[in-house]
Amino acid sequence: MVHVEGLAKQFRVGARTIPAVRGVTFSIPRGAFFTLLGPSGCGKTTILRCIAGLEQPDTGAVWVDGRLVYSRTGGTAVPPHLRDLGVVFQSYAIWPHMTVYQNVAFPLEVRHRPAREIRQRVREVLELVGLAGLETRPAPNLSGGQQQRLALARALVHAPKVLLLDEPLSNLDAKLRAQLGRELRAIQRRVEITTCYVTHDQAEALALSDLVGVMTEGRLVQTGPPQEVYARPRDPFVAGFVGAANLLPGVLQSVNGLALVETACGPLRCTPPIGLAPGGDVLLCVRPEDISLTTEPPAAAGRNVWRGVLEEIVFGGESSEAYVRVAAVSLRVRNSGATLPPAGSTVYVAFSPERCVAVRPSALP
Amino acid sequence: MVRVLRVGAVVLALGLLSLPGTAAPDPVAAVALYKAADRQQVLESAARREGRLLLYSALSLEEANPLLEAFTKKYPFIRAEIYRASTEDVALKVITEYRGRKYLADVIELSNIDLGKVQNEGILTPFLSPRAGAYPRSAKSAQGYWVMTRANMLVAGYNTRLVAAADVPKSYDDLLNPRWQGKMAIEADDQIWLASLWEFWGEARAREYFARLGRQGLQVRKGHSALAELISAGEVPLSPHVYNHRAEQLKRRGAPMDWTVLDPVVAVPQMIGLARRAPNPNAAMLFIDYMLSAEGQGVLAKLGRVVAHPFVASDPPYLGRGFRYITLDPAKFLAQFDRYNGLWEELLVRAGR
Amino acid sequence: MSQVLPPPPLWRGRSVLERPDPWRLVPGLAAAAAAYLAFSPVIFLVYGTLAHREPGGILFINYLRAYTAPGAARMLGNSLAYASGGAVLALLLGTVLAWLLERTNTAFRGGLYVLAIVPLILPGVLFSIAWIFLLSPNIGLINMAARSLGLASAPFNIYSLAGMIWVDGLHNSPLAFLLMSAAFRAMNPALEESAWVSGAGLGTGLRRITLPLLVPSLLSVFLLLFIRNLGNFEVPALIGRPAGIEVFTSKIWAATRRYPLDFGLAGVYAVTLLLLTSLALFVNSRLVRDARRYATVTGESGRGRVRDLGLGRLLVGAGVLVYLMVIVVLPLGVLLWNSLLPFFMPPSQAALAALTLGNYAAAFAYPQVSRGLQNSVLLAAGTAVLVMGIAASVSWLIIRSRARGRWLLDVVATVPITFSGVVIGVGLIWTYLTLPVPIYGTLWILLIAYLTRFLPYGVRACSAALVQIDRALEDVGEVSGATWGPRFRRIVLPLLRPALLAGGTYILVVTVREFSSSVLLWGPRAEVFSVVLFDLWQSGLFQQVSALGSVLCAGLIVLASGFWWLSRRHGLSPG
Repeated sequence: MVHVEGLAKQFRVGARTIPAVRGVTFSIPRGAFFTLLGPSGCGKTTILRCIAGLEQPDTGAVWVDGRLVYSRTGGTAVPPHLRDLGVVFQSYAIWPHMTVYQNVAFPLEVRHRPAREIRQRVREVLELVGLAGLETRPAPNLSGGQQQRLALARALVHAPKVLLLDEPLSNLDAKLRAQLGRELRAIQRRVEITTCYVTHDQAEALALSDLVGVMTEGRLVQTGPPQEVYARPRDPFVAGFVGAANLLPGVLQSVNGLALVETACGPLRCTPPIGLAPGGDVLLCVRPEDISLTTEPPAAAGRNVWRGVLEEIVFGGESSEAYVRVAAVSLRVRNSGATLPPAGSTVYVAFSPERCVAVRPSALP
Repeated sequence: MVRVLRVGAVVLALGLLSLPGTAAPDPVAAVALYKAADRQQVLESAARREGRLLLYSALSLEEANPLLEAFTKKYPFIRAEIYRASTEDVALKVITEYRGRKYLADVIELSNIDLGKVQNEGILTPFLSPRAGAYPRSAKSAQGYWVMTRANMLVAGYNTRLVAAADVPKSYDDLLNPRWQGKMAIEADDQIWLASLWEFWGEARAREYFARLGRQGLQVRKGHSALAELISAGEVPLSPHVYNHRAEQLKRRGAPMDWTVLDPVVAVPQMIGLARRAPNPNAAMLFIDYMLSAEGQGVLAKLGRVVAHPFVASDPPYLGRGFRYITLDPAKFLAQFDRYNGLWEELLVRAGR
Repeated sequence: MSQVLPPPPLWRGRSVLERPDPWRLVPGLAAAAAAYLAFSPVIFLVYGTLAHREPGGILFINYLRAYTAPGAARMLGNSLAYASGGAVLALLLGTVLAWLLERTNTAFRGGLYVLAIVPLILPGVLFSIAWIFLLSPNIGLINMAARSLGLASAPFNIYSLAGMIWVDGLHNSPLAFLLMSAAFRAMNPALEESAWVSGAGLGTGLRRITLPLLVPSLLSVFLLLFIRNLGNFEVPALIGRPAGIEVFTSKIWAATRRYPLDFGLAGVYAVTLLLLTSLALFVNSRLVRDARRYATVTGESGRGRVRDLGLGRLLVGAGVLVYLMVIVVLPLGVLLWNSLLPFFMPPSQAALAALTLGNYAAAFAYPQVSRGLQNSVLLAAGTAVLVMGIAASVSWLIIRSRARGRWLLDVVATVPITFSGVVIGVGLIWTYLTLPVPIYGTLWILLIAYLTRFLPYGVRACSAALVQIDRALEDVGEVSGATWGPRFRRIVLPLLRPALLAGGTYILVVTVREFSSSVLLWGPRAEVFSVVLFDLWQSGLFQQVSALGSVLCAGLIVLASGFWWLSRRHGLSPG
């Protein structure tokens, strides 16, 4: 539905040139909720704006619903108002001089739809987002959450092909964020609209998306369903950014079904990395929740077991985190509910090889 | 000994003068009326101490700077500066200053009307200059308040490309010819010209003349010199009252400009006076002497002005002689200013629209 | 566990957090300075209207005389028509150009940014003279060109109300441009972008989103221009007088030059102007109160989002070029042309043969010229810094603080706009000849006149920008523990920087060309360049004025280019 090919863009600020996006390619299937996830400044907003037509990339091409809307080499650049998209900006960009009704009706008015159709459609959409009955209220008098819904309503009212959202929840408090995020997803499913969502919040991305594309420094490093991106990161950045991770450097010894890697904490077995030869450096990623903590040596059963010292405990409400020092490395272990031994005691950490992933240590070019 | 006492008196007076609020006006008068044989030395040595001179005048910068330079060459210890604006504005400034008890001006050189305004306010003090002897009585104030230095002659100026030689007006009545309909410009504030002619011709003739002149559709422009420039540029073919020295200057520069005398020529004398509370009275007197001397007048003449000194010829000489000219008593003019201004507006400025 | 705390030792004083903030005094002092500057000439002026009358006349006789004079109603009508016409033209031009510069990728943006400021630089006298030479019915170059192309009679006559509006509108369009640029920059571009992606084309987006959001700024700038034009003196004197069109300022000027002195009459017209303007300003302050509704800067940067005009770029660029030509090239060209001639001639063989540099030599030989330049530059720099400093504090008080009666401060700070330079000059003369402050005839009184005259512009510029900045940005600072001083210095001032720079630039260049109060207040050794120019013009030395004017413009174009280059380096301008 949306296909981006080889997109690249540079910005000139004063005397410096900053590459914002470097050769990004991805596709969003019809009806999917695709999230571009990455830290601030990684270029995700720029890509979104390029899809919307608010920025012109330096190279690359963009297709929306099979139609080429931008191509540098082909000389095509469809202006934003003809791309039939819906955009929700980070600041919502609600027009302060209009009422709720007028804000939502605007996209239909500029398309010269008949008045009756506009009225009906606006009512429908306001109902969809949960703002029914607020038509006559002046837009600035809405709360943050209401403004966000209004922005969404405005973006959806003309039944666009694609919905683009630029960190729409970042201005809200945590509870509201979670709630609105779920509502957003529900609306998206109901309307079955292809969505591209941009955020720096990995929990949000994992919770809402069908597909996640992780970006850093202008490059798209891994794309895939949330579970895959989470469980099988292919890049140290992804491993560290998406969810919490313990990252251990090591040297690949041999591959025999499972891989054997030598680390500072000792040897361990893990899922074999793709395309790495024995003898090379690897980075091991094991999630805190995959490590079990015991005071007695646990049954091995093919798992990796190490002994260490429990250094610090951080209470987190629903779970606690323990920092265990094994040799020179501090491992983060997440334990749900069960009481932990006191700090300073000797403990055993164990994790199974299937939950441990090895990646190439340096970032992909 | 007497000389020392005199010098001491002058110096003491100056010292008192420099104290705010305590000076009596006499020290300036003392210097101004001093006429002993050692006058020049006394003035010079005191002026050396003063070191400065401030001239309030309507001379243009083009003329004032060479004049001040020449004066400074003669008296290098005096730093001479000019406060220059249009003659009405300078009068206004010095009157305002005196009303507010700020005494900055030393020498004031303005048109007779404007110096008259200044004199009405009691700002001038009589002076004695040995150079004034050369001037006829008509060019001096009886009580010694002012002496004429130069004059602005108002003549008819025209553009030689737009006005054929045969059509050049030879008298004021020629201006009423229908060929000049919409082709004449007057200066915005030349009430003096109207008033001078009005006094000369008398009420009946003047009223009829100016009413008819007004119906010629006169254009209005500000500034005599600007008016002359506009004529030479071809914006307006003719004006009945430009400064002849300005027209002559333009002519010399090659502009298609010439002027002719309409009898009688209205002359607006420019006069020089001494400020009652001049901060530098000695330098002021030296300057007045210089302005009235043949030397100073010669500098002005070389700059193209019509000078008042009877024995210094203007350059060219026909700028200042060979025609009849009339002047207006400033007191009479000022007393009736509102009336003349009303006539001016009614007959000339508004009628043409 | 309750325990009575011992009283703090006497020597300890307050705790660190409650240390008195000396910066708190700054807004109060600024307000006091603004009030003093505004009130002192007014008080003496009003006093003059009541006190300066013939013995035996009633108290308000001057008012009676002024309002029953023939032509008073027509003068009022002319003044209003001229002022609003010029304001509309300037606002139109300025807004379109500001939008082009800030929101599109039109060609010649750099050139526009630099050269659009040039008319501000030209003393009004020079600009008007240049246009007289271009549009004079008989010798105007444009008219002559039109006639040579076959037109029977000259199509343009500058000596008309339309001519006055044209010159004035052109002359003020850079001011409108600067102010509207600041307004655009402070506006959240996402508001316009969301209209764009919602399907609105360029025209619809402008009409329904951009313009309505700009309405407070537009009205504010219109009022400013209108008031400014009411007090304008150069155009009414040079063009209005010959056209027979009298306005307030020419009436005041005429009244001040009467003898016996009739300050009463001048004062009455000035007071009338003042009343008209206060009304307009009151309306404006009501507008500005609605600030919250239109707060559009909420922490997002407002820069760098431009619209690609595509093919239209060339057409629009051509339009910009035409504007620059009309505003800069034509008047400067005429001046340059004039400066090289011994007397004014239209272009011809003879004229080309007569070209000479003599005027330059003559003009620059005057010591007054170099001294005037020096003084002008000095005063301009001082005025710009002081004005923007006071203005920032004052506009903060007006817009942000919850002090009572701050609308009154708005009126007080902005009322001097109503004073024509002539009136300020007269008022200040009387003020400082009466008060025992010995600044009369020195550069200091000129500084006071400029501060009085230009503080309103600084306040307007800061207010227009401050209106667009959300209060929350400062509240955050306050909650973070910053007292007023650091908050103002580190949050408000940086956010105000575009307005400060735009306003400061404007004041810098416009102080150099100020002359209607300078011409009354200057003294020996305290002359300024514009007065020197005017003086030469009055003496009819057109060619030398043109020579000086040409050099002035060249110098200021260099200055403006330097400023533009600098601001580009620091990412302030849309590169």
